[in-house]
Amino acid sequence: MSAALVLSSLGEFAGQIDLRADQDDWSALVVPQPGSAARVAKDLAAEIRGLTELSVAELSGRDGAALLTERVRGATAQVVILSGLERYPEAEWLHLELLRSQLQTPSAKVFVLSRSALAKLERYAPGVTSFLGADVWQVDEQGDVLTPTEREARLQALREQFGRTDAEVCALAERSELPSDPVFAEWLVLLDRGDLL
Amino acid sequence: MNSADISAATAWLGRAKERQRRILSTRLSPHGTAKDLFRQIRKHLLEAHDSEHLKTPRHEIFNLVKLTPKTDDEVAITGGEKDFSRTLQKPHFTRADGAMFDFVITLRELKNGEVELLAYDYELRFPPVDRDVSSGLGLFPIFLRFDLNLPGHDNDQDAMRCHLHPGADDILVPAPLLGPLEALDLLVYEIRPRNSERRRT
Repeated sequence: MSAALVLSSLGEFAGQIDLRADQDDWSALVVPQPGSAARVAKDLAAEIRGLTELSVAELSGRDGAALLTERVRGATAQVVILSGLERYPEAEWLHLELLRSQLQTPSAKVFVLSRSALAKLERYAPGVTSFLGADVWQVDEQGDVLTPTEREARLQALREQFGRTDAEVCALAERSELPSDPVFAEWLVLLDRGDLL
Repeated sequence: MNSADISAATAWLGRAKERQRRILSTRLSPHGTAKDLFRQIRKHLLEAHDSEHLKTPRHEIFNLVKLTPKTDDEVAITGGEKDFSRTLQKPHFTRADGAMFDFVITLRELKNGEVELLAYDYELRFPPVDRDVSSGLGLFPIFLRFDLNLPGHDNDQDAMRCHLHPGADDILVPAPLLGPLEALDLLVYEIRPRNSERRRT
């Protein structure tokens, strides 16, 4: 797999899952830390449920490849999210490879795993890897959040519009003299001073 | 100001405050987290795109709707950028009829699992073609903005905490308290000329 994966926020990924549901479709979302796979899998399920009417199953592979395969075959959901693969030893990946034809069910399957687990998947389970094709994405966990640049641009627009500095706005709020216009609420939150509201 | 004037002013201000109290008594505290509300808003806008009410592409909707970093209980959900000078050049959502809008909602996550609306502003701007009054068919006002101000420390302001700017920043008209999806319903679906072919001046 190429070193540079395309970034995708969970929302964007969830937004195009409609096109994949109800067919034997495979993709992988790579998380930055092995320890975050379960949380990201849960967040992804919430995103899909929030954005679509699709049924979602979250399956853990931590009990081994055989049980994971059994769970995939038993799942009736349109989207199946698989995580808990981080501690698989070589033998477990090889077992998963052996069982790969049983994983082919009419649902969209999404592996959520770390880059190191993906490397093992590619090495020991090339058949399963071939299911993924090019559908491997890097999770952008901050994709829904204003970037520092966007945040600064909004603050600068507020400073220019009202001719005040951030410190002056905080001082007004501390003295309970903050104008009540909604933009001042945004201003304080952008400064991480929502506590003054 | 003589005593009769003072009495009249006190009376109308009292009624104004009572009106505002009534408006705000429709307590809107959506259940869930700011992130839940963020997802509902994004879904609303994506559905508007899918039904061709919004021209803004799906990928741009994902780029336009953002949360402020979560470091505290107070969070803002932003939709596009505030266009103070109404240049129409700032990132915004565009309806199929060319009208544009942006919004900011500031809220607080409460311990009881609800979110409290602290402030909002939703501004709808009509396209330049609708501003052409030479034919006598121009659409006024050229913008509408629904605001929920912060709870005022000045009691006089409280009488107009929830208001509409009908095309003028200095004019405030009392408005209903709007839930986030209700406000988007107004901007996306509801507020438009009754008959775009037969404009009334």
